[in-house]
Amino acid sequence: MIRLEGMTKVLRDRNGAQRVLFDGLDLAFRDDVRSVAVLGRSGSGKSTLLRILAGLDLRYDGTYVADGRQVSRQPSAAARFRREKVGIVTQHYDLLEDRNVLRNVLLGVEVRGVPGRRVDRKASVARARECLELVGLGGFERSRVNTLSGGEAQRVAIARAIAKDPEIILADEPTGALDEGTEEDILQLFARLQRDGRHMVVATHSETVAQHCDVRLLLTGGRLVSVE
Amino acid sequence: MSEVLIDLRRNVVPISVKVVVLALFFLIVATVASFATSVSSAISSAFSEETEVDLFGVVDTLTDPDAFYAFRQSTRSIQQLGAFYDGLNTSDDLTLLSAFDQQIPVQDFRGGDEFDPGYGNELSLTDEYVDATSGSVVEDVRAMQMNRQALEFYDIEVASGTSIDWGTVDYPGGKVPVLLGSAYEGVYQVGERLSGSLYLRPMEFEVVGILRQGSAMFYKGEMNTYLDSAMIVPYPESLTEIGSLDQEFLGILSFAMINADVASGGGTGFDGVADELRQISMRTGFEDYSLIGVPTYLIQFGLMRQLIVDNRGLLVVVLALLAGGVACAGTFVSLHLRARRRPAASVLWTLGWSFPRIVRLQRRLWMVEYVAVGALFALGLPLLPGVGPGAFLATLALMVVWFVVDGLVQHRLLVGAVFAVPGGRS
Repeated sequence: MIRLEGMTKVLRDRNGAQRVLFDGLDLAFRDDVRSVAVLGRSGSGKSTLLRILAGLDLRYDGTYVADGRQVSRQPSAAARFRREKVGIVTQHYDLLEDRNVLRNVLLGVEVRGVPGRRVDRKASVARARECLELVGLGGFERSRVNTLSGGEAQRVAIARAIAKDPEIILADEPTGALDEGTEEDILQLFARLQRDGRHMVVATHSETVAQHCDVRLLLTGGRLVSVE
Repeated sequence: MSEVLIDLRRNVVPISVKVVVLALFFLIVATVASFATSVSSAISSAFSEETEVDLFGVVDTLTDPDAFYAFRQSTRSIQQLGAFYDGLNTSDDLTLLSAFDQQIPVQDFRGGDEFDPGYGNELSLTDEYVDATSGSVVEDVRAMQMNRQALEFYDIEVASGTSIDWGTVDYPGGKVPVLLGSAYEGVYQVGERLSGSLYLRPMEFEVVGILRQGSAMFYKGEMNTYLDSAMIVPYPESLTEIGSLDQEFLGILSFAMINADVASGGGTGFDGVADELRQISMRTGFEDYSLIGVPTYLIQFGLMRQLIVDNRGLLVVVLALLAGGVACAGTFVSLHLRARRRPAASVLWTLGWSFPRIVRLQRRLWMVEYVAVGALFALGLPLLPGVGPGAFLATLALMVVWFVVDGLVQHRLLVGAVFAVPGGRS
């Protein structure tokens, strides 16, 4: 499904000093692997790895293949890959407070719109409602984002991420800001998404989250090491 | 389009501030540019150093009423006075600026109080009265009689109609062409005739032109005596060749005309002017005159020019400071707007919007802002006093430059906002 070969990433600070984040990193998991947890301490590069997988970070050396095709490092091609294949969930939800829950999810639906072609509004709204139902937030369409709890906000973010029906969901510390009870709810939701056929890569420092994934990898010394 | 509406609704306050600040800035630029160009034009023409002259006064010395009366009864004396006037008026070394503000009684006058000689000063307004000469009901109107050289020296020009055709000034026939100040626009038309009198002599005044607004002249120590509500009555070109006029009227007219200012080019000086007058006096036999210096004209002229030059420099500095302040304010608001728009741009990019699509959205927002600036500017422009075409075009050019620069800055800020994630755009 996803394969990284010889991934090298070097960070440069303002003074010009270099820090090697990934040094010949390799990652590969098959189609039957539904979820991968990437563990590591803070600053190990978990979020950077996910950004590379999302096509948001294009400054690296190495090869990135997804679904049998190499992911281009041209911004427009990377954006198209992200638009068509990837859903992203972050620790702080990244919801827009200037619109309600439904409109936030609609962003995920309409991102695949073709420029110059009118979007089928009814179909888009129906799809957004369906995603909200899926994450257990049916009835929250008109709610303002700033009135939601952490768990509800993360569910909205997940609904937005799956609204375009991506094959891969990348989640960066998805339960980092949630309590244990809410975390468990989110993990149950993730499990359901996997049963629906989606692949997930989760960056986390939480053992609880990692235990819910098929494969656990530890990011250390610029490389990924399998964890039993 | 919905993203544009959401952005406008969310950012209506900073966008409105930006639009108002920029529109006001361009309106101020247009006004000051118009002022600066008109001042430069005035300085280069009317207020240049080459236009400085020495100004002196000529007055008669017949202050004793009996002597004055006796002089006017003598045909020979009046002829000598007329010859003296003509000598001054035709001198190559002097410019005779003869002007007097004798009010004119006019029959069936259609104007309002603003044309009354007492309007706007300490005198009381006059009412209609029966003119003893004609027996008609008349009203006194403000007037200024002057010779051709005064009209030309003070650059008194018409906005409509024609200037005085001096060949048609017919005092013996009682028909005189006149110019009306700009305030007469809509009261009398070019071609109309007003019946009145000058020094009790019935006259018919034909309106041949309406003056430009703001026409003014130096008169009795006042640098800018405005003529907007005055009737300009031309003096006869010559007193010796005026034709047949009764002696009483001719005497009054002659003394009015001889009390005048004399302008001489730089370098002639008081002695030179006095010498020329002495020669004319000897030639004509008229001796009852005196020459006085009028330094106030020169001082006021110089002061006014310096005031304008200094103010022009001050205005340039003020404008530069104002422009700098507005640029800072506009930049601050633009940065503030970009910060408010950053989360949405970042989310759209993360979701997979292409960068060109995000840029198109940004451009729509930028266009909305600047169409609003242009519309507000267009609405405000007619309210400004007389912005010239040159100033307008210069302001328009500045506006285009500002729009383009702001668009480029907005684009740069957008790139930074969207690609804040390290390693985005190559």
